[in-house]
Amino acid sequence: MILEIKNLTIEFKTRSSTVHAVNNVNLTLDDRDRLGIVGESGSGKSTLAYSILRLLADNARISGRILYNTHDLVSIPEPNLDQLRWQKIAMVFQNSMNALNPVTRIGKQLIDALQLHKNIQYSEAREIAADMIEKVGIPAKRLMDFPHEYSGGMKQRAVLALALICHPEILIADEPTTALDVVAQRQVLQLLMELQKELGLSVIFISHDISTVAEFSNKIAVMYAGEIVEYGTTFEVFNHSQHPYTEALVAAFPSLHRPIVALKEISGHPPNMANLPEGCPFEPRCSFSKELCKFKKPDFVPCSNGSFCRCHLPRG
Amino acid sequence: MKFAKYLTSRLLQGLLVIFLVVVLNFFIINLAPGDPVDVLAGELGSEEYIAELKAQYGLDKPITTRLINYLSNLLKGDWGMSYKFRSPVVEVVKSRISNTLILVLSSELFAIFFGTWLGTILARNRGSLLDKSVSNISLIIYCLPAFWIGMIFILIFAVRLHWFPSGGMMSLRTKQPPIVDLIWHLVLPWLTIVLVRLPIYIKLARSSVIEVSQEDYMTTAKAIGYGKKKSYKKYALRNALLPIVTQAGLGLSTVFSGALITETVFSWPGMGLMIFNGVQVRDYPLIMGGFLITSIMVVMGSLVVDIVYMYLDPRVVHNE
Repeated sequence: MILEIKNLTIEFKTRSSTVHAVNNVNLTLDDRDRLGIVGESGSGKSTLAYSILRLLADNARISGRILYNTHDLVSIPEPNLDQLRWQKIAMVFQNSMNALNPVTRIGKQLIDALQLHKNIQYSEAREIAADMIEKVGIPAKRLMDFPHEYSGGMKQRAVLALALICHPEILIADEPTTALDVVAQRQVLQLLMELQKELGLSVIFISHDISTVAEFSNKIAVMYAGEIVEYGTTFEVFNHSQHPYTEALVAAFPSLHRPIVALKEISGHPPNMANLPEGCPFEPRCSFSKELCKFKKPDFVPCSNGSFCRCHLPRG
Repeated sequence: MKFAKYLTSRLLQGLLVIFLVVVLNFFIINLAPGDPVDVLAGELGSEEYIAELKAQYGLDKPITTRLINYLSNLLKGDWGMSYKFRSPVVEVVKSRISNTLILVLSSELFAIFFGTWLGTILARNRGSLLDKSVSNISLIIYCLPAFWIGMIFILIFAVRLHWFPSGGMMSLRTKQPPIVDLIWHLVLPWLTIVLVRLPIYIKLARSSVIEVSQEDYMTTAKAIGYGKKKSYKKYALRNALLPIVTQAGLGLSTVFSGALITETVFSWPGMGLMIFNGVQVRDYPLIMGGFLITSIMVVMGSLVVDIVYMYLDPRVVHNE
């Protein structure tokens, strides 16, 4: 176990209401795991990811613990956290187009990050940066280009190179392929898988695209309304879904390997995160709901197939 | 090579702009009601006298001929004779320009640097008491016209308190060393211009830094672990400077034409007062000279801004 999230709850206070973005999340990341977090927009998956490096807006209230080795990333002082950031835990951001400083050369940004955390000479840092940029599939002669001289796919690769420049143990990838066209998506995903193996990374991969997550991850956590509703190995989550939401989500995506059948949509809307229902948040949309679901929040418990699930009536 | 080509094309554009401005100014000034002869001859001047004056100043010729004369003289470096001062415009401008620079350049530079610095501090302490009070005060000052501030200063500090003189640049008889005397005269007009210009830079720097701090790359900088100071220095500053450089370049290029209103209120013998006096007596060559200086400086100022921009923002050359 390299990262453990315990009872993590994140709220955003606004003038008129409190948004409950992440509710009582428990999650573990094992060494060299490829953990996929999947959920629809607004389910709290990015908030969860940002909280690990403490990148949330100032009005966020975080409770619970995020344990990395002996450090609790929720309460560790900022200067100590700056030591862990990028060196141990790095991140690939959703919007690669704007994630790089537009007025600084790519290579300089890599070298600066490297020299911030490692006490090395410029020439050595430059060599490491050139190796890394080649590793992500960009010719080394383009190292000192500016971000605007790169194409979209190249920028995403450069962001990946930046994230890996200090050889972190954990990589958080927040929708790393969402902004790309399908061809570039495929390439970046492939690259991420290769680098994960080569560098022995533990990766948290966040996406709303369940097929991408399925392809990349060995474990999956499904988020709904700020909660993890199901967590298990990719195989179990897809083939023996326990939570009705997971089941509906899987049914809503076309399969590449099975005969094409009509896709099922999930009726209704996600709940208002500023005003969550008393019982199970998925209850209004659930086709299996019982009276109990309306009043009692289900616990996050182990299921028969080894997955964990938050449902009174797991599909079994 | 890219740079040289860019520079040449911008220079040529600038020359064209100056030419067009000169022609346009010539027509605007000459077509405006009233001419110097009316002023010189007065209401009681006889028709022969008026005709004689017109011939003397070449105002009897058609406007196109006068324009061609003026342009060909300009190329020879002759800006014409000032009617009011009865000496070449170039000489008048020369004697005025250093006075203007002392007052306007120093106050504009101060406003640029102090305003940017203050705006940056406010942005980094957004919502604090300091931010709220300085932002609101500077907004109020921004709404006050320069002549009003100047007159209030004169009323309070010159008329009532006798701390500073109400105008001029030098005392005729004084025991003070000249530099002290100059600074003593400089204080009120200098403060007036600073007060007028400062809010612009405070507001611009504040909003620019706030805008940049919300960019995605600032999150990257935080995630990398730069900490507040380094991420500001490495990531925010250069991006935030871009709009300030534009404003500062334009601000500085108007420096040579002087602060017309402030100079007039404080009778500061600079370019602004010169243009004001020129307009009062319809001194065509003098007004043209003042405007010519202004247009040259605006063109040069924007050229300098472009060059600084190329250094600050690599996207500029690329997109040309």
